[in-house]
Amino acid sequence: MTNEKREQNDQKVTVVALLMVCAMMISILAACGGGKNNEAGSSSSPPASGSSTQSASPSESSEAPKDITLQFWTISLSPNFDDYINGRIKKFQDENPGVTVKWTDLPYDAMEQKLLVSIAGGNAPDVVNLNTGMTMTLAGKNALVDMNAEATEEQRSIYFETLYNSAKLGDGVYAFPWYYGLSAFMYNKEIYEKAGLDPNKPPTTWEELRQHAVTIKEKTGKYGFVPTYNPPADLYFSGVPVISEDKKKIVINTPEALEWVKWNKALYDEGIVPKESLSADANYATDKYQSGQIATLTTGAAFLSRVKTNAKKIYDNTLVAEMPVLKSGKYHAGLMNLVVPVKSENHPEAIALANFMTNDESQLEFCKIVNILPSTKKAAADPFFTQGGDDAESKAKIITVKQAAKAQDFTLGVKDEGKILEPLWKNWQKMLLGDITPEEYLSQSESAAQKILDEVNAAK
Amino acid sequence: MFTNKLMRRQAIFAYLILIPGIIMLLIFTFYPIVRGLPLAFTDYSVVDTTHWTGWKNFKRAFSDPIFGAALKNSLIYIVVVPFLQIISILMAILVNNKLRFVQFFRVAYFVPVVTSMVAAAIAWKWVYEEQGILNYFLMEFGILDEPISFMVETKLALMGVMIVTVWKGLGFYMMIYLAGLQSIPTEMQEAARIDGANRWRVIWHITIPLLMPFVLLCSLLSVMGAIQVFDEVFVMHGSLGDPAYSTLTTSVYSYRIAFTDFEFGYSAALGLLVAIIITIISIAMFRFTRKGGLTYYE
Amino acid sequence: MSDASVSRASRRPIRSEKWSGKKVLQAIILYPLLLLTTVITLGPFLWLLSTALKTGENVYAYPPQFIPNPITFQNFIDVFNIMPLWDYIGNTVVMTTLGVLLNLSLCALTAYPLARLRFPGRNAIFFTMVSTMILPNAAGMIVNFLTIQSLGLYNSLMGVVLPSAISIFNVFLLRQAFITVPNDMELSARIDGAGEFRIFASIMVPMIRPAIATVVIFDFMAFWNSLIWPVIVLDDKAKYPLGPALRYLNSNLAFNFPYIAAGTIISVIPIIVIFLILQRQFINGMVGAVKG
Repeated sequence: MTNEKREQNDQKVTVVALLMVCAMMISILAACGGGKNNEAGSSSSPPASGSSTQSASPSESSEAPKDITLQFWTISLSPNFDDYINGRIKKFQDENPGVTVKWTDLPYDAMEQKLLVSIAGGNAPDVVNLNTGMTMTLAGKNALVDMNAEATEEQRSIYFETLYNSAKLGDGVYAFPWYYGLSAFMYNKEIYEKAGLDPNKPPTTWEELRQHAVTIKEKTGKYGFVPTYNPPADLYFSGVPVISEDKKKIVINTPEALEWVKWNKALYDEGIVPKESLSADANYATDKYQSGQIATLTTGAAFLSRVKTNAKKIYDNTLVAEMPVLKSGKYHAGLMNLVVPVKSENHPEAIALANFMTNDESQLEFCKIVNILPSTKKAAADPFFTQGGDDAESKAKIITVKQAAKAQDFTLGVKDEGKILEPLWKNWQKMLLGDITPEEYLSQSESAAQKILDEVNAAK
Repeated sequence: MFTNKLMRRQAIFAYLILIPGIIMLLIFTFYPIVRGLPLAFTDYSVVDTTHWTGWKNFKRAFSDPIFGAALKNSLIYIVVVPFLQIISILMAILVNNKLRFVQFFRVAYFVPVVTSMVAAAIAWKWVYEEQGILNYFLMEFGILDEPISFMVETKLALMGVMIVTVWKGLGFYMMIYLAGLQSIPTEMQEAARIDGANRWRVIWHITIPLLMPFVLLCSLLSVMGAIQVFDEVFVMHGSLGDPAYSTLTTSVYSYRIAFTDFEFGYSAALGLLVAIIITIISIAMFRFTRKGGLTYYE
Repeated sequence: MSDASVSRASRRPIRSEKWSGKKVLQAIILYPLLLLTTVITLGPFLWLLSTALKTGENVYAYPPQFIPNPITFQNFIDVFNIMPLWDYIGNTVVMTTLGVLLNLSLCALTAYPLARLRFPGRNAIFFTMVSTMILPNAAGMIVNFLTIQSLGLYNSLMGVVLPSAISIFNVFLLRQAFITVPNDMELSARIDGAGEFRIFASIMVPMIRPAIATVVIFDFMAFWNSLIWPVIVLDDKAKYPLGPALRYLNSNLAFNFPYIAAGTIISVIPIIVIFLILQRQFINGMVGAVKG
């Protein structure tokens, strides 16, 4: 490198370096300036106020002190359901002058973190969309409003009682049930025919389902179905109490339980279901079904729309029947709920919004755009659910609604439910893998869960 | 040459340009740690009232079999370090050649680093599944008669995640080594080669020793990264480390304890215990390598 | 194989030919190696690319279809239609530029004294920094959120960028690079009477250009791909960067794998472009400069 060149380079680099430092200084100044601006902005609202006023523009809150802004958080509904949610919010705002709803939709896995951090920052949202597990954990930490105590009888009465009570902890109920999905039995006609089975005779019991699966495996080499295990709920719906009436004893080591566990173990060992069923979820099952690798789809009917977009041929070949029922005669409903955090500043308005979003009209409209089921009695009775075309989706809708009367979510109704039930999940995998026997599964899980339950009860 | 005056001038200059960085570190790195440490002795849950609990969290950690399993997996994970370092050094040397299309290869090796973990996980699951591409090839070539579920076998699942870590990390370390190689004066290598030393001798006797500061830095970083591995496990096997805790690592466990069970206090205690283990390993590495990559410029 | 190359080369009398002969052999050995590595590193990514270009039915076909037939760009078009992707890309560019500039300047300024200047407290500062890489940060997200909130930066771009304005990893990397700069360059500059800042800016920084390029790439990548923190700090979805926005494609009620694949490709392309640009500007420039 010549000297001249180096000189030039040096100059260039000096300039770049100076620019960098300047940029840094400017950005730091901007940061401080921004801070001041924002502080000035929020100082016009009362300092004690939490989320609601902070997000309201200062002019609004100073001119009309009655005005309220509600923060409404949902999980993964945008952008697919933007129009629906915005439409409902507009209607709510029209009916409740002075109330503004600020909707934030969060990606699925960001919800818990954002929620916790916001609560820590005194910036709690007013209405939040949570699944039952998360609802119960938060309720156990006294973070949610008890609907039995603060909502009106009128607000509470619109829901199916079983669904409403799935968020019950002690005497309190900490959520309004929103939408849920039920499994329907969806199956590939072509594979059924290839296996020499009559597509017009879908299985009506789990044992029949097993026999079909065996035939399908033998004749076509494909799997009959993918079980998406939920051991606590599966046991419960097989007629195992799981927890005693007084919520003090874990009861899973029963003959019914052993039968169910052994039945599953045999399925797994004989290779009638894929090895990956161990940790399979509905996504996995749907992917395999729509690639034609599996004969039946036993997940929520909402997944059928995915099959329709991704694999039209398979969809056109899909027949729908009622899901075989477990011993209890009930179906498991995986619920989405709306909750109101205790830290919300506007309990009555927030409860009203949660109630509005889950009322008959809102839910019916929601169900019309996506294949889910309503948690309110009147909405479920709407003729929409009993009429429809001949395509698989309409049939699935009609069938799941028929099943809805037997639907229930499963919860223990005690604090720290997730922790108590964890041994049932983890030992289930160990049992399928052959590390422990079905008998050991039940006895070990029972004692492990009992130990955690005792700790939880003692901590009260 | 080095007068007192110069020393003082240097010191003042040093402090001056350190200020902005140190301030940011104080606010966003030191402060959270200082605030977070005492939590290990409480039952802080963010939402509920907090109590002082003394050593309870630590006692619980020592009798927590799940933490034990997670710790074991985290330590096993260190196995990725030699693979990561050796292969990435070789890759860096490979693409440091003046070859046609070398740009393309550099990009190709770097792509895994920039691919989001969510997408990479989907791709790798597709590789590992029972009806996945790996089984497809193994059976086509007659190596296997029956497919293996790489995602489900407890003995293979962790290894599968480790392969993803290596796959995703190679390009990253390759870049660091490449930067290191570029700053080694090429004259030295060429002189040696002209003197008749063959390629591998040049690499072994000249390139590697000069890269040593980078090697030690990268090894230390990747050991820390391995023990604290999170993303790969979380997106491929969930917060429970399926199957049957066989892929659960300490970071994933303490994340779950904090954000799903809301036990930040216990989570902080677990973090502290892991930190102590990392410190011990780091000190051992220092001792072992003597003049490690973190020694001072003199 | 290297032995063979040496013996074969030594038989050649003329120097230039010896080198070219070696080069051919080198190419024969190297290219297969390079290609094999490419297959492994690029494989999963190519599969995502091929998925993004497939029509719905072929995505889930088994046995898998490797080369899409027919090829469609519909998935890309759809992704741009279902969300205001250009806005998110704009946000990401602003956030990333700001973040990279801040991070690079702060890290370089912090790394240099730790590498090459003598001053009391250097060891202490350095070891404190090392320790932060090890110490647990269980409540880090919460504490940083509270700090950002009290600075009045909630729901602002600055709030997203500031906590990562300096990263100890990059400080390490740059420090390591500063250390490798030969002493004589510094000495001769001192003899010429250059001041401290001039030595830093016009001797040291240019010497570590490869490391700087690396840091810029890593930074760019980190900011471009940041997922959780922007969601925590930002309240308006309209302000989101690309990463979190693309995660909406992964929603439960409407999961569409080709969209996710297309989204991934879209988000990776800018990083590759930056990578290529920096490669040319820094690394090749450096090699050329030293040789010239």
